[in-house]
Amino acid sequence: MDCPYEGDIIMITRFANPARFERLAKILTPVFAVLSVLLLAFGLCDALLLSPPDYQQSDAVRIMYVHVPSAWMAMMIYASCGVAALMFIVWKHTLAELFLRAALPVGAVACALCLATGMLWGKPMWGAWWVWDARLTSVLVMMFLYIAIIALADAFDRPEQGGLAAAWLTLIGLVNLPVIKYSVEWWNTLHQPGSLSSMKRMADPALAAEMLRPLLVMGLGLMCYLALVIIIRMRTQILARKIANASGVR
Amino acid sequence: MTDFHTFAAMSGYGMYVWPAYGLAVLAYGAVFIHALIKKDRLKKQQDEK
Repeated sequence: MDCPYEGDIIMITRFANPARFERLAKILTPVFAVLSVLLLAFGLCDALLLSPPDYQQSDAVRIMYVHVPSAWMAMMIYASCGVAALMFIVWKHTLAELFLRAALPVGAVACALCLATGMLWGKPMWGAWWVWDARLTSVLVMMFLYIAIIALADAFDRPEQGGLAAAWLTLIGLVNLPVIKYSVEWWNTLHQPGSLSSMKRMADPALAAEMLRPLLVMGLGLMCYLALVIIIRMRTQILARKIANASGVR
Repeated sequence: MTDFHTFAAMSGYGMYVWPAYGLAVLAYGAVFIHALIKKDRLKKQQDEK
């Protein structure tokens, strides 16, 4: 009997080839570089100079333009690591493992920045650097997960074993993503609800257009920038494996 | 007070806003530079072999 997902599997296998990835990466690197420079330059000008201050938070609201995109990226990178982990466990695709190893530290930096900028925003608005609120605590759990997975990936002599252990822990940690997203709805929290957390809110956002524009531009710019960093890190991983294979080191 | 001072003061929230942007620039910049340095080092290593 024919497998109903045969086409999808062939497609995944096609893109999981490191040589094909190298060719694609050579095209994508300059595209993401140009896009990130343009979007981040415009986004920063818009965030700091053009967007209006908030009627309640005044200019402190400008922290949102680095805090929220960092939170989006931390979650997006973790979710894509979850997909890569599943591909590595099921199909043993080397490229999925390389993605995992390249993306996890980048996601950890985005998560750390989300927490740090959140603290800088929380102090003047809530009067405290930190509260054990459901949203903050679940993001802190994601930070610990990132650190644990990175440590686990390098804790074995054989890289494949480390990759597999890291992939399983990444999959288990995926449970935390819906907790982060819905924490502001499930529990009474000090943290405000997401401005674009659902399709309904996207159609009628809680933010004024002048604030939504820099937020989306910064989000897109950061996404292109971090995609560029992950591609460079993946190419470095491929190069490191080539050197190790050539010198007979496992 | 000049326009620049008004802008830098951020309505009294400058001590929170600027460190947030500074940290972001430093951390994201460091991630990029680290990736480039590591790649260059490995390329040199490969060329030597």
